[in-house]
Amino acid sequence: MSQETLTARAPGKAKVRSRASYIRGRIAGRTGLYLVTVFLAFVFLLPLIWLVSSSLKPEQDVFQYPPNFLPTQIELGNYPYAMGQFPFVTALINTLAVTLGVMVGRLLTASMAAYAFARLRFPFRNALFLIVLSTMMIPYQVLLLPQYIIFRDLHWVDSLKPLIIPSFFGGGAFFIFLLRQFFMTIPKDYDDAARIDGAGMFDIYWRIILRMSLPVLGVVAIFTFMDCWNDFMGPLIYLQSTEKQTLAVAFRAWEISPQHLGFRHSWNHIMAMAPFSPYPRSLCSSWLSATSSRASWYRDSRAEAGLTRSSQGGNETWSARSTRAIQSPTSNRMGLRSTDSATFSSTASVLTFSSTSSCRRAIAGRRRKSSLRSPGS
Amino acid sequence: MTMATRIARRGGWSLNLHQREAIAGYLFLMPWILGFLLFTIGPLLYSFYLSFTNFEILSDPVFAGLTNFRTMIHDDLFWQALKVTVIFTVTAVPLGVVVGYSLALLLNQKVIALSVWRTVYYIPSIVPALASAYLFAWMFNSEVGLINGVLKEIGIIGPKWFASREWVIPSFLIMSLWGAGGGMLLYLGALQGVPTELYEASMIDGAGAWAKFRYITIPMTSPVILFTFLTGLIGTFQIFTGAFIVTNGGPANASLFYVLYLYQNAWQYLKMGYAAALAWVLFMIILVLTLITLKVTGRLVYYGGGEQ
Repeated sequence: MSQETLTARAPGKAKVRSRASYIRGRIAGRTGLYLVTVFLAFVFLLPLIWLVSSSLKPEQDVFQYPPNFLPTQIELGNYPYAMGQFPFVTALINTLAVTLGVMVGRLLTASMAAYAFARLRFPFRNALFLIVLSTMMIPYQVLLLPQYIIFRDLHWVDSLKPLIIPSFFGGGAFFIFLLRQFFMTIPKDYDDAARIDGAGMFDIYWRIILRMSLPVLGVVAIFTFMDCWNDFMGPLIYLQSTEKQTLAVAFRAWEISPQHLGFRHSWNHIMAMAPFSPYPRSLCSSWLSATSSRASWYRDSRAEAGLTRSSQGGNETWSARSTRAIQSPTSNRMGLRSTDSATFSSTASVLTFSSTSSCRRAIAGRRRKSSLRSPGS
Repeated sequence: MTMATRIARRGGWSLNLHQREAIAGYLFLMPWILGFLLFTIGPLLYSFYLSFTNFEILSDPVFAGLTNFRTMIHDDLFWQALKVTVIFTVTAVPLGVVVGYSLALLLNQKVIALSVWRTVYYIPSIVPALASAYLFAWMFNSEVGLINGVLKEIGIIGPKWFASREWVIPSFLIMSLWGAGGGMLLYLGALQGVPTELYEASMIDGAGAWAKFRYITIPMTSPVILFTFLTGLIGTFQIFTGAFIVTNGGPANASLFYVLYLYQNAWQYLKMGYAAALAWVLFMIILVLTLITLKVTGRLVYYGGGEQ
């Protein structure tokens, strides 16, 4: 509110705008803002509405031109029809198997590597971490051909193994980095307390660090789910026989098959099938983000109860801590400045997203504080 | 064991602890180290070797010197693929940043029901590439698609979109902008992290809306902008699924994206050696672009940590 009045006054033409005209301008501004927001929301939703609407259209509606935006009658039969066209259940099971396998491998081995980088001291630690970060720049295609040859020689082609097994070897540089940044924000006092109680390094990793990191592990799980559901080139190259294919490839195989092309290009059936890719994905990610924000809320409430009181101050929320992690001078010392810090912030944003509740509370707290300090606003 | 004996034995024990910690560190890292050797550095070197060979997947690679790279220079399709990809990248990435950032600024104006709008803008970016490819192919179909239907209603004869040489890249551009919500989420997080004190201080100094935006908002969110720009650059250069499904490079190679051409060489023409050379050229391009971006933006990006 006071922002505009102050700026209007500042150049010395005080009280040029009357209070009434200010309020009128403000109402116009807000209306414009909401008009733009709603219009953009419509633009962004349009393709999705069209997707759902097409998938519910009966045959005669599909080639209506100019097209009807909504179906004249709801035809639910497109779904079972499309599912009957290719081994849908097998493909779904394969996709879920790949997702689950990659998730287990990634959560386990990426967190192990991250724990070593965040907590343990060993020779060449920083050099190795730099290598981890630089592997993020290597395009997948460079590694694809030799990896294909390796898996062919192992006779793993046309099985799910080439898609799952590599994730058990570190789980990807980005995830190691993400987890390491989060682990570094967990107060070391926990480790020390556990060590006094006789815990070894594996106990600390398994029973403390992992249990304290549910929000970020949730984020990794979401990302993994999206990756696996999205992966097209991998399954396309490795999976040939019908009973091994994942949803994306099986769908593609059906769509280009002669039986299908023999008929008319039936977009309503394609649209009925296409949603099966986004649906579980959105469901899963919303469920996981709900879970992880609940988990982070749990941690915050414990923090507020003083359970995590430490040298860092017990009342800090996760987002505050991860923000500080961005600003940690370690990145400068390691000579990683630009890339590293840039990724730091994205990590923080991801973490902020994952713990929306705590973030909102932190912002609200800051606003309260700042409004106390400047009574003018 | 009492505390006293523990402290007494500490001299010998602490060195031991360091060694144990180092061993534990390498044990925890073991999966990654093995993976790095087996699935990253090994393949990287092997594909470097392959790029100098004549290799069809069924026979053994035969060393051929620089043949692949010489072929590449005279390969019109290689230049076409590079041209298409570069044009697409230099338009799609900055536009994606601008659109995503504008959406974030819009939602940062204390709108009510923020989470609803945020979700609406974000959802398209998590629709898998495969599904959005089919969806856009259908919507932008020149004969029965929704877009041309609507355009016809208002008296415009729509272009042929994915089926026309001039419009195929703009069509892919629209498709990629539909997913700008992913970046928006990151920008929104960064915008909400800008300390309000800075705005208050600038208000006292008489800063207007533009000055606040230019000298506070942009610098404070610059690391996230750089990050999305870089990942966008790397990702867009490797675009594949959409092009493979919607156009498969057509019409007349107008959408022959680089990785699509690489895929065709490796798995359709089985020219693995040539594909490896293409992959290495891609790697070098990405590396150089990344380094240039970092160099150029080095002084423009503000990091909260500063020099300490």
